[in-house]
Amino acid sequence: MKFFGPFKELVGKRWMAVEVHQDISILEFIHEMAEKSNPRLVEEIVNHEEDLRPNVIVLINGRNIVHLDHLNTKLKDKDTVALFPPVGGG
Amino acid sequence: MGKFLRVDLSTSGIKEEEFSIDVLKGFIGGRGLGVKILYDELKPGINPLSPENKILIMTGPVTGTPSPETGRWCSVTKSPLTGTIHDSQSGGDFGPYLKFSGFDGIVIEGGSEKPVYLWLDNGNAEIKDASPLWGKDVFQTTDTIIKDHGDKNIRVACIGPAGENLVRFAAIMNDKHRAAGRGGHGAVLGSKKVKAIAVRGDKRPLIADEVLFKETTDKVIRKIKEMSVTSESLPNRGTAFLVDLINEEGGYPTRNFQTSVFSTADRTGGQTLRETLLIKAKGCWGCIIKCGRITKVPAWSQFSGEGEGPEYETIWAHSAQCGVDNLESISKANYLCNELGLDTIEMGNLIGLAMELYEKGYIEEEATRGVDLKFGNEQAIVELTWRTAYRSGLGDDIAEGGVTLAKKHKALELFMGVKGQGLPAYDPRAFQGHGLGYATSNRGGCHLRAYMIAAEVAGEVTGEKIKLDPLKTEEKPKWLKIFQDLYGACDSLIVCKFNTFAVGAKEFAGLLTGATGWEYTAEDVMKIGEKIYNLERAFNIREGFKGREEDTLPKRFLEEPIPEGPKKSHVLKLGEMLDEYYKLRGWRDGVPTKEKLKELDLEKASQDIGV
Repeated sequence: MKFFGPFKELVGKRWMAVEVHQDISILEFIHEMAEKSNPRLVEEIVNHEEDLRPNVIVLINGRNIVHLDHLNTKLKDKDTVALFPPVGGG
Repeated sequence: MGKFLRVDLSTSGIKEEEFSIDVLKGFIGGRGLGVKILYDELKPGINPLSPENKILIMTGPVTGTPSPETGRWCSVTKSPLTGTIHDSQSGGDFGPYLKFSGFDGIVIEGGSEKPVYLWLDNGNAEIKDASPLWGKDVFQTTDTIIKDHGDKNIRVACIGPAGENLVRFAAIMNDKHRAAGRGGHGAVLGSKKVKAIAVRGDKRPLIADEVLFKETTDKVIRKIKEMSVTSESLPNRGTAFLVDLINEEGGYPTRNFQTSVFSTADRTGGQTLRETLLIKAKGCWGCIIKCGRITKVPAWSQFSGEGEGPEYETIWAHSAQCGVDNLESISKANYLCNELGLDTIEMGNLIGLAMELYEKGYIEEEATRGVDLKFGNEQAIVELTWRTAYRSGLGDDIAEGGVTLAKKHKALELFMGVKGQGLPAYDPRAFQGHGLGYATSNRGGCHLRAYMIAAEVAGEVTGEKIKLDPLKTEEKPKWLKIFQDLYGACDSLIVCKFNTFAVGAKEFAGLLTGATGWEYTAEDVMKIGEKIYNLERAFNIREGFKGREEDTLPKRFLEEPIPEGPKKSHVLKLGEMLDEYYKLRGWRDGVPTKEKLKELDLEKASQDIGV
């Protein structure tokens, strides 16, 4: 998982690599990452109903999860997850 | 709104002028009014670098008012790079100060024998001798004019050596570090021997309906603070943060768009800029977002310098586009472009083109005159900037633009541009809607006729969370038209486009009605934007553009899949979108129909282009 912007500040790292079981969902993966880095990571990404917060971009291999299976999207071996706030510009 | 200057440099004549209320109401100001004036006054077929061209320095009715992001101005002309109608937008302080000097805009026509600058001082205007300034760079020119007048409350827009040397993508720089960058407007001023425009004054614009204006302004401020892009990313991290995101998305054009991931992008991204060269954030006049960055490369570096930027596009143009990952050399190239008065996007795009031409054997060793043109050479991006501004060696070829440079080496297919203007920092194969925007832009390769990235990546558009799949083509023509029309209005008010992450036509209507006292609805605003887009298209058709023929992209994007990364195997599916786009526009093969022009009260244009 790569952390950008406020997520990097929260976790204190640019990236972490973790071994997880096959077919883990991205939501489960975020929970695992939070346990290993900062528990607040979960609440920055999902609300109390475990819906994705609107001001978070979660990419799996460069694809926004909202165009995949949202928080149910399953991860595969060597997948890269990246967390961003919304970014725009020139 | 309503007091303009007309400056005829051939006769040294200056007079005040007003435009009819119908024209002002119908085209607003800025880009819209500029396009209308030039459509009416320019004969087709004129050489953009001849005295027959005109260049307009424009504000809009909300410029310099107490609403956020109203600190912008624009120039409008026939571009020496593209041959199209072309407006170039800029920030800083100059726009409001032009308004405060007592004038809403300047029409500059003819040509001077000797270098001059325009001096607008609290309702008075003069043409002054600029012979001592000719040859000076942008910073020296600005400092000298301010010193000569003994007043720090003067603001200056000027050209550097690049404009004087008629580099076809020379910029008009203002407040030293801000640029009306694209399209070579600096060369148009240079061809007229206009070195600078200096402004001073205390004539604040009147607001017709202060209650409505304040109500709308309060809403704009609230929405800017609600949206993440405008309240967190841009203020805290600037545009450079896009390097990281666009590279992660696999759409970051690398080595002249040969691929779309740059393996060392993190060395030049927003996080690295923040940790190394950043001094502080900066905003334009009246800005609450403050996306600008002031940076410094230390004195002990061979690339030492300081200034504003580099922004995302500039970083891309001198980094991934050229294979360079040294943020200090990239920043130096940025500072140089500002000092010499060059469009950073075009400059970097064409250095990347030159590198691919060299690596593939089109440019021979001898022609490089000792500059190693292999991708990745951090010295080359600085050296070629100097040589281009002064038209030295290969720089002379680069100064003529990408089409000429590539054609000279019989490799036109390697110029990554549209209608003669180089593409910016998003691979169209990775962002289908944005790619359609590139193809159909009236001013050539441009990411700001319609910033579809707001919907395809950022997910914040006019205060709504809109997330379009960048790889799909469905709905993109519809959204592109919305963006193009909205931005036509935005560039005419004039308001910074970053507002449009948070607000849209409804708020623009409120600001316009409040500022002018004329009634505008959101529908009116979008209709005017549509009218502007159609008039621009008619201008280009009148100049000889065919429409569909030029609404395209290099073969690389249509036929060569992205070779690696998250967007591997994708091409731009232009064919799936273009016909639908034309249908929505009411165009036939890229040409507005008689019915559409009649609907928009542009019947004369219909006759001019023979539809």
